[in-house]
Amino acid sequence: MATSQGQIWILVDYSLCSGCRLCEIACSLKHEGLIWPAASRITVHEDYPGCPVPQYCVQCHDYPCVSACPTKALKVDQNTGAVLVDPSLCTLCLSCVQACPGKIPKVVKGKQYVLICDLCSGDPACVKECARAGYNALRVVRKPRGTSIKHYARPPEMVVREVCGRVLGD
Amino acid sequence: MFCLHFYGNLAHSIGRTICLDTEKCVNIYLLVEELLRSKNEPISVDELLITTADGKQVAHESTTCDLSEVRVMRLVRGG
Amino acid sequence: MIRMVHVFGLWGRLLDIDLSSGKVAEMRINPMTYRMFIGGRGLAAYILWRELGRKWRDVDPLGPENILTVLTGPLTGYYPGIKISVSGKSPQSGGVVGSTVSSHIAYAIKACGYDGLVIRGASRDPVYIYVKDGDVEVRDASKLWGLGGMDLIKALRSELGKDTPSLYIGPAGENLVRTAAVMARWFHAAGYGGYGAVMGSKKLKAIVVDGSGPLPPVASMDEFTKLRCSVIDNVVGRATFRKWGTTSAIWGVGHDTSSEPIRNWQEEWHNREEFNHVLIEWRYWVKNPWADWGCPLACMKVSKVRIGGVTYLSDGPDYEMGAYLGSNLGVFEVDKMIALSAMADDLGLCGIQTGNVMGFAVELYERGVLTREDVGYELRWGDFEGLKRLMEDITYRRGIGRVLAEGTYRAAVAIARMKGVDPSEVLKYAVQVKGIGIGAHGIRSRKDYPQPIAYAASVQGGDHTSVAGLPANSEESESWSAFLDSAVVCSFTSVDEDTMIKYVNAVTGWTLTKEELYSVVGPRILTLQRVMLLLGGPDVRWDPRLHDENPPRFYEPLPSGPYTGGFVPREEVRKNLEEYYKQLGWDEYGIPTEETVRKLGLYDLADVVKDIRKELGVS
Repeated sequence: MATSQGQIWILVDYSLCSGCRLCEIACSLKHEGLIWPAASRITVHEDYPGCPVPQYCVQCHDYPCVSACPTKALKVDQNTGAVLVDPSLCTLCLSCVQACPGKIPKVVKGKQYVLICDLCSGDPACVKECARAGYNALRVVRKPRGTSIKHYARPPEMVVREVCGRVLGD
Repeated sequence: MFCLHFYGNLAHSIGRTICLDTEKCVNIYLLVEELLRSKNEPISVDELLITTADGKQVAHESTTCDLSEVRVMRLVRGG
Repeated sequence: MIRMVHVFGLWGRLLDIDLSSGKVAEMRINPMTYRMFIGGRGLAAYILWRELGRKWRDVDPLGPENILTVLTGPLTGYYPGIKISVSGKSPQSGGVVGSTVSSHIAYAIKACGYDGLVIRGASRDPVYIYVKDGDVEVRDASKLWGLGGMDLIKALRSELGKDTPSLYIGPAGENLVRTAAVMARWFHAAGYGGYGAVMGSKKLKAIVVDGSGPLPPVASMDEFTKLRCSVIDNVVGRATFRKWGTTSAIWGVGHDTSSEPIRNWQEEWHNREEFNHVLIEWRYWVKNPWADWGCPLACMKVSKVRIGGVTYLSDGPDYEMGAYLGSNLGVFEVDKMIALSAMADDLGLCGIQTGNVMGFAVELYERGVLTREDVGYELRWGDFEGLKRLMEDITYRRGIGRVLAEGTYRAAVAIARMKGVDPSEVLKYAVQVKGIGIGAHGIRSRKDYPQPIAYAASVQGGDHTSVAGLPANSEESESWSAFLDSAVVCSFTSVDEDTMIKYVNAVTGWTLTKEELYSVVGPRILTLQRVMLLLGGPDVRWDPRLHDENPPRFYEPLPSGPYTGGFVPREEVRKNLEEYYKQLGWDEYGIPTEETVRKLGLYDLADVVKDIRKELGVS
């Protein structure tokens, strides 16, 4: 898949994340016109005090979800690099969820298709809200080259454990 | 004429409204700080919320020439 | 226009769960009721009066007949800074206390399609309530019973497979300790009122809610978006509060405004450099910022200390815990203050009420009222090991803990009886009002909480988050707290009255005005709460002539600091009480008049207030 120069990426700094979920609120307000955290494309996990972990699609270079989709409902936005879902083609078969190394695509009661971050066409609402709230835990950067970014797409409980280990020590 | 409207606890100890004739353009935060000191209030300006009449926070560089009135509230301090 | 929902921003229905029978029903709340009582604290008072009013005095707060309400309000989820209101007949005051706590459960309940829960009856065996969208289950909690907060959250997480918002109790609530809190998210507590014990009496270990739906639509999206952004900007502008949270007050309230409890309020001023928030930040904080759902303020921090091989995790500590489990107990070592705060959270104790009764006990010991024989060990200011033991004894109702677990007021009365002395001899060291220990903000210096009737006239006694003051038609009156607790929003993120009222209107579609808030809605909630407080029972009865009063300690002059000699003038208290009551439409004793209750639409209170007046012999 072609990677154009203009592709963007959301950088996260776990130590700055307060766990406030304003990103979830902003995402659902933007995409659904409602405060609907369950339908947010970004999700904050927090199993222990003080180590919240926001998770969202990190746009793996090989896009395993896109190749796994049997109905071609997923495609890559050539401008931003985001995975776009075609609601009319998605059958909620969950192949993409299984293919995702972080199990990140979301299925929510009331939505007939899988929810994946679309990078808001290049101007993500979550990032703007995080900046407005003065946390700056999320920032938009040019998409990094190389394959290492895929390591951010891991099951949330794994990331939570590691972040907590660093914050709380044990 | 520049007026300060005090709310909550501050209204009780300082008075609801204080209006001053200021000839020079004085920084609003410095003015409030001086006022608190003259009234012997052991409160620092950090603990206050100074807003315009429509609730927007007053910028730190604003002076008494930029605005004609502000609201001064004491932030809740201590859980 | 066709209304899509009951009231905008609310669903108009509550889950009505009877733990005795296991029956779950839906309780409808009509738009008029919301308009009259707003939600949260006001709605709780309304429901409690409707369900229990006729027999209020006989309702045992710790019996199955009591009702526990867990309610959101119109601002819940919409306004930055989330809270939920926990209420019921209070085992501390015998009235109704609207106790609020920050918890993700508040939005989760709305995301299930409900505005709150009404819980009645009592289970025979330990249970927890699990709500997932429209489904409600009362589940077995026998394996969870006895667990502290940390272990409980871990156990629930592994049972449910993901972190799910919850309210819960620790061992203190299970043991019906009257200073037990309803806890949330490790370090959060709805402490005032003693509702942890109410949950315990219902054998209810936790309420867990997993909501996947949206919040109800708002009346005006444009206005809402505009206001929401302006409030966020306003809150983000509070740079120092965001950085240090309420921890900064542990230094400032004591040193600057001289209103921090020290050794059971024998002093209110300190000059302890080690209480400085910058030092606390450097030495103990492992996480900053830490925020609640939808909050740009992040007043919380996570601190960690290790003492004697044990690791303690706590927030800041926040000011109230720092003051009450620190200086009030003579603990001036910050690591130990953090450890005691962590212990109280894990045991499910309200740090304020428990710190209050512990300080009271140490003073009694120091004065020889309590002896080593009574306690079994020595009680000394700042003695970490002894204080830890005392806290555990209270939690598990062991030894002297059995008496102290009843809270400061009841403990004072019991100790007087035990010692065969007049209750006033012991009550003079009890820093409480109407069964509720005073929050960590003194009124003697007049530089922090300047109103001499702040606590004496409050319908929630010593609750520092709901204080009274003159004039009654301003944000200094208790109407303002009643409004915030009923709209259910955090007082730390609240802004000026005009914006707050506009915000409620943008969400609900109401046309509430400031005038209406201070002359009708606020007084209506306060009047209803006041009547239930004056009814009291079954074991407490408040006489306004005796109990609308400050703790005796507040009439002793401050012995140290920049406001040495400061005290509350008695004449001013009586004068202000009468003026405040008059402005609220109450008589000189603070009993609402029949005319007032009718004007406020509380028609069935007319006979009740007449009876109260007759009983007191003032009709």
